[in-house]
Amino acid sequence: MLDKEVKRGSTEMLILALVEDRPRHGYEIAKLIEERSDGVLQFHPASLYPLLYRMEKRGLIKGAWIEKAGQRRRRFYKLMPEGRKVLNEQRQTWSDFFAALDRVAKINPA
Amino acid sequence: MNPNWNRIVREHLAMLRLPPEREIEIVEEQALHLEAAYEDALAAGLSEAEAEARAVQGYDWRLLECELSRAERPFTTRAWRPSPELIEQRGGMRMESFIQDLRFGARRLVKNPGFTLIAVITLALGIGANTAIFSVVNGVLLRPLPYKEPNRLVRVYSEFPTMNLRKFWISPPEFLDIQREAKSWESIGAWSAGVVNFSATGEPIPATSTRVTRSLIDALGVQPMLGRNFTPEEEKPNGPNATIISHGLWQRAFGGQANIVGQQARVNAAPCTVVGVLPPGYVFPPGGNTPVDVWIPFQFDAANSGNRLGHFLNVIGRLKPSVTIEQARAEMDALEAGWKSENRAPHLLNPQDHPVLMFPLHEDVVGAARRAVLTLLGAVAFVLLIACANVASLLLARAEARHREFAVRLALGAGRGRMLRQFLTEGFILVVLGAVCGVGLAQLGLKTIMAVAPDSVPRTGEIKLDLAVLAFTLGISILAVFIFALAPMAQLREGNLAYWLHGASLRTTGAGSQMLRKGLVITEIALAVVLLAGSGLMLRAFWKLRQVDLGFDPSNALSFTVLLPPRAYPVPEHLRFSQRLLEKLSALPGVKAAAMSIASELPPLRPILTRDIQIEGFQPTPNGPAQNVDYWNTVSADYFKTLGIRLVEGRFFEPADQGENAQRVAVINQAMARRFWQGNPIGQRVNPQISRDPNWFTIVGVVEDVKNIGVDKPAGTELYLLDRQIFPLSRVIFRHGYVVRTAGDPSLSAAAVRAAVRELDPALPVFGMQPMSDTVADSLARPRFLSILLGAFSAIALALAAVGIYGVMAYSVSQRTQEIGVRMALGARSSDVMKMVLSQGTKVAGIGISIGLLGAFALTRVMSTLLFEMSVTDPVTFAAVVALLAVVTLLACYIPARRATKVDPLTALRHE
Repeated sequence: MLDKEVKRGSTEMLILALVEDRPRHGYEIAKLIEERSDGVLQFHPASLYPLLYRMEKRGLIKGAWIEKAGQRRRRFYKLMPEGRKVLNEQRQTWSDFFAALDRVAKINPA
Repeated sequence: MNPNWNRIVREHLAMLRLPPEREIEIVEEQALHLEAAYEDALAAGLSEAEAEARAVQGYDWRLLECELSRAERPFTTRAWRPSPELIEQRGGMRMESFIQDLRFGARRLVKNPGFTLIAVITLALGIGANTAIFSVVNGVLLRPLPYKEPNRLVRVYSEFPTMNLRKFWISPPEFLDIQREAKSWESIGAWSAGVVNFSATGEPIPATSTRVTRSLIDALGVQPMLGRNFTPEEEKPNGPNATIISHGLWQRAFGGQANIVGQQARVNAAPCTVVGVLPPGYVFPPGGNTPVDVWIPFQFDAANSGNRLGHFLNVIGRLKPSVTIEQARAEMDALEAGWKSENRAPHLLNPQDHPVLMFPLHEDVVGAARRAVLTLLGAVAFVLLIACANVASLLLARAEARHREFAVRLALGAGRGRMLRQFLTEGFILVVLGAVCGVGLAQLGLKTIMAVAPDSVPRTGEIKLDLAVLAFTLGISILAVFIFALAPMAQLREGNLAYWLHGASLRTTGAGSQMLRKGLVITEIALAVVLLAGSGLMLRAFWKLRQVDLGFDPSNALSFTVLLPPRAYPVPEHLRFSQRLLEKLSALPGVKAAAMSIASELPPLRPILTRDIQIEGFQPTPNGPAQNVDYWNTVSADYFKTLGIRLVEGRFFEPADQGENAQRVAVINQAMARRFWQGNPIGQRVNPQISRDPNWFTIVGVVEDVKNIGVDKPAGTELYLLDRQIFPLSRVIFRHGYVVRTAGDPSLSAAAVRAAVRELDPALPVFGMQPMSDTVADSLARPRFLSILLGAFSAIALALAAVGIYGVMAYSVSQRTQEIGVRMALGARSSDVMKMVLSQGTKVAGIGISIGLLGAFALTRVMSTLLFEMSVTDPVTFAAVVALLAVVTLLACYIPARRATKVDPLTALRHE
């Protein structure tokens, strides 16, 4: 299990990355994080949604209700230009961070 | 069928009070999440119930609530709050979790302002009443008297068992005998209170005074803060005139001058040296509410210590450290027996006719008030219990409404301890608010009590809200939390959990909870009955006291005292002064009559003034009455007319009695006529023994008894003599009481009366001027104080009990809406429904009243000594209490019953 602090710092980036290619709803985001990390990153929905609301307020993402016949309407979040900027910055930061770790501790971030 | 996810989420987030449009969005999104998790679980092969449990249990509502409140609120109003997840994991952060409980509790209370307000007001009344009355208990009963080692102080009285005079004064020779021969005392002193005309530099002012022996100041153990105690020289006959003054008088008359010791003052016009100033807050006489300002030494002549019949000394002794009061009593008995056998003088202290009585000073001072004060404490304890029962009942109702919340929290793994803590925390917040308001109420209440009835109990100056009182308030508050906060916990039984989780709603709470609430209401009603019975008895006794025939008419009468300095007013002068003053007073506009009496205080607060007399032809018998009169009085001719005292037989004093050689005449009261004469006393003769030669006075009239010493006391025998006939024979009586009967409001004549005295002698101050109706009211201070307070407490109790039964009935009706709807659909009429609800209410009230009556019969017995000529089981009072409670509870049930009849069957049947 990753250290909580690292996890917290990276959460925003994970969400931004997941909505980068297409809009997704909250449950999907939670499932994808869990699946793609093989269960290493688990995300409690009770903190996920409030985080989404905060990111939305900061203009990183934008939510919109999409209705389909015979289904509950769902709220999809898509990446905003400001979010893309933050995502790129964070990717760069984490990449630098891992490179540094690798140089020192021989960790390959793969 | 899918669970109603929206509703589940909404219930959990209700307390966040989100803006409605925002709440809809958030609820829907969370519901979507839960539903997706549920469907995933179904797809994974779980049953519906298991899938629902997984979805719900996988959710941390507290965390969500915390995070949402941070995400959704503007930054400025956000307070730092650790996530509960963190707290649970780190385990040790108890304080933070307590703070969190506090926040959570506070939020719940703010969300229900109606509930919170009612609970806080209820608790404030209960706690406030207890705090106020405990201040009285503490100041009057518990706190030691403000003297050095007060438990060694003993009050010493004499007694005349044959004359039924208990706790009587001691004469100077008797006091000197005890002081000289008894070995039990470290110091024993005497005093006699009075009033003096005191002047520092200018006009004399009236001042309370006391003559004391220097040993009294030693016995009390508090020495003057400036100067010294009296010296043996100052106690010798014709020794130097010295005075010790109170701190208050030093400030008032001398402006607190530092060089006060050695300064000259005048006491009753005689020059006198101030030798000491007592410390501030020096309480004397013990337990007194009006402090003594001027202290003067007695100058007894041990060789010729005077009349053994003149009993006027109050005595206090300090026991030696190793001596008990029993030992002192035993020593006194032995001394009395010895004196009797020696027969060294007539009228000695002796074990049969005139023994000494001793009481610990504290008991003597507060003993009489103890029962009254403790009765009040009992009454407020009842009020607090009723308040707690009411709040418990409110909390129960709320607990039922919160079942789902509790269930979910328990299901999510909140420990029972944690839940209990949450209840206690909510209770704690309520009690703290209640206690803060209660202490404020108590402060206000005490001020009111002291303003309304300053002399109703001794030591009122020592009553205050201090640390001991606040500690008591804290104690009862903690007790209150435990009494009422645990009630909802009783509802959290394990077995109910699944039931609640499955959407059990408000209308299906168990019978057990209803029973508990009914039990609480029954308790409240029973307690209210006891309180009402107690206060009802007190009020009726007080009413009876007000109806007592005083024997005179206190309305439209003004009384005051004038002190004539013996130097300026020798024997003939003081009679002349009195006559001139009466003439002036009678001539004032609005004054119908004026009269003088030698009684230092006027009825009904006149101390006993007993005197041995001789009755012509009276044969004393061993068990018969002694030749003695309880109230010796010398009055001006118009005394009876001025006071409105009614004639029974014969005549009043007449102008003809005032002539130089007129026949010496006397008027007696009915009690005296009954005691000494079988038939008509008119024409019989008495010798008042005012001089060595017998002076026989013929009884010319019998008047009705006047309540001299108190409205609730027997009148006693009274002998009236005429001032013109007595003053020339007797020694100077320099204290005169005057009464002025006015046509209208007597206080309007006060200024003119003062002016009349000033015209005769500008140096004479006037004491204690007040309408006689006020004096009567003063004499009833304690029963009035008790009646007012008990009345107020039972009114609170009644109101709380009414709210309690209303709450239970309203709740029960709301629960039975559906049932009532069915009944009405099947043809029940409104009146049937009304009857059904009312009968339910009356049953509860009936049980409460019955239990209360039993309690009242048992408990009001402690009040027997407080009730004037009343049985503690007075049927009128009990019937009135039952009727009052029946009416109030019926009214409280009527409102919900009417609401029940308005139920629309269709709506009710749809009501799930």
